[in-house]
Amino acid sequence: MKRVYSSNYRCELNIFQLISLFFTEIFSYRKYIKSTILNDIKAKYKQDNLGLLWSIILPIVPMSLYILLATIKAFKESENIPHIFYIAVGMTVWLLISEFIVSTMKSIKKNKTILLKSNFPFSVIYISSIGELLLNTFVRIMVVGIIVIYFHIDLKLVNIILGLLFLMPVLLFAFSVGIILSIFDIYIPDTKRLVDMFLRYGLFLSSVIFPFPKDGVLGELNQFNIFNTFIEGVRNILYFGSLESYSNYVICSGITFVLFLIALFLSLKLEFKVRGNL
Amino acid sequence: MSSVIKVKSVSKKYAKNYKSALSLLKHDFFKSFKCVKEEPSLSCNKSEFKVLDNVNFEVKNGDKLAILGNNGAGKSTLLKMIFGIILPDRGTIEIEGIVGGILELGGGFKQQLSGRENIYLIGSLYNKSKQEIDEIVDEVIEFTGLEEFIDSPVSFYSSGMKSKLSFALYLYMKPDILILDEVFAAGDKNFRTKAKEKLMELIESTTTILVSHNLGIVKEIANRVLILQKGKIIFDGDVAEGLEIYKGLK
Repeated sequence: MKRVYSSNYRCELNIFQLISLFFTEIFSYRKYIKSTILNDIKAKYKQDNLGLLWSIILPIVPMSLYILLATIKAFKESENIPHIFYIAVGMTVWLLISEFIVSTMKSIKKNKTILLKSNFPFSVIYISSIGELLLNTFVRIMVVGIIVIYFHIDLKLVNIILGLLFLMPVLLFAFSVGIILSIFDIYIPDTKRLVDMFLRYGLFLSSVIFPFPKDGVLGELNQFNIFNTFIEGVRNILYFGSLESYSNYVICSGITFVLFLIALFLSLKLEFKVRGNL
Repeated sequence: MSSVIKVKSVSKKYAKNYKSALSLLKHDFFKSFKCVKEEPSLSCNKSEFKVLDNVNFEVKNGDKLAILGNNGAGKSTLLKMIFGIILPDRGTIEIEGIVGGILELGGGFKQQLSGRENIYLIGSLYNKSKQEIDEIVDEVIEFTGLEEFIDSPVSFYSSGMKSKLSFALYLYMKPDILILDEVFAAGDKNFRTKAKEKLMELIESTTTILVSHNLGIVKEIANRVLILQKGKIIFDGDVAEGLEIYKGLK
């Protein structure tokens, strides 16, 4: 296969060609992606004496902490959903979003050596960095499952399937935001700290562990909080099988798709410029 | 013989500094959307310098090309462009075939994984299937002499052990175009002798680009020498003549 590198490389590609390039790169490196994800999961529990145990305990620490606080009535409880289920699902979705954003954002700098020594595509690095996230999410879903069984929470199978479907835009949103931030992180080192700060506030400003008040200025503003829409959406669809308002979820999913296109556009077009600045 | 690498009028400049990170982002952002038909200007202002200046050469299938030059001559930038890691500001580079090579020994390993797992990981980077790696894994391990440590995490390896593993691994990946950047000092004396024999076998059957300050190795491997000075080619031709010119460089 002949490749021609020039200053205009990839410049004339339109958005459809960029999407196709993204998936072609992922497909061509599928063996690497698979082994990196599996090895990252293996490596995670190989590091310490209690490795496997840590990989189960650590992902559920934040969730268990807030459940503990809820039992001493530290938060306002949800009126319609059992609070333990409310927190468990809220934290699972919140941590999925925040960890996905952070791991994607950090992936380029983390793989600096390999990116400076080979023409390894950024897209593959992004996808390969989800090993730990998959393991953590799997553990948290298992905990949610245990809670559902132990507390006899009646979840319909159709709601679970719908919940998984509603999770798709959430994943795409976190991935897209992570890609965009990974580019900013190369040029502006403060990005990581800002994201960290934003996510700390975000946990309490979205309905993750307690229902966020719907009245007042903050309540009004929260209508535009995409994190809140996604977390409440997935939780409500799981428990009730329906949403109060579908329009917000559809709008947020639309915004997510646009974000994904922007992320692809930025990462694929700026890839070689970014390498020069790593 | 057909050319597998064509470097046509390639120039590259780097910035010495930028006013702020944001201006750099803005600069790169807008530049990547502008498809200019005309070649960009390569005149440098005070905050820029040229790394490569109108470089032209071709590498034919089976060639063994040594690129020589003092530090800062532009060798690494040129290799990175051939690898497709960075792009030229002006000109084009045409590549036919899979470019592989050793730019830094030990680079690219996942520290928490064992040597064996890293062999599979790097193999998959070269698009080798598990079966293909299964066929060579024992040979690679035997070649490194690291049988005893191969299932320990790479983070426990000494730098010499990492170099051995890295060197052996790339030798067995067999790319179409092999790039070697100062990688002849891996391991102890015995390993070096063994590695050199194996490397010579690979070089024999592959188009090779070599960067080294070890003129003995250049003499032994190369059939052509290219000398860079301050980003310009000052010589492209016969090995003996090239080495004489290189020795005379300040």
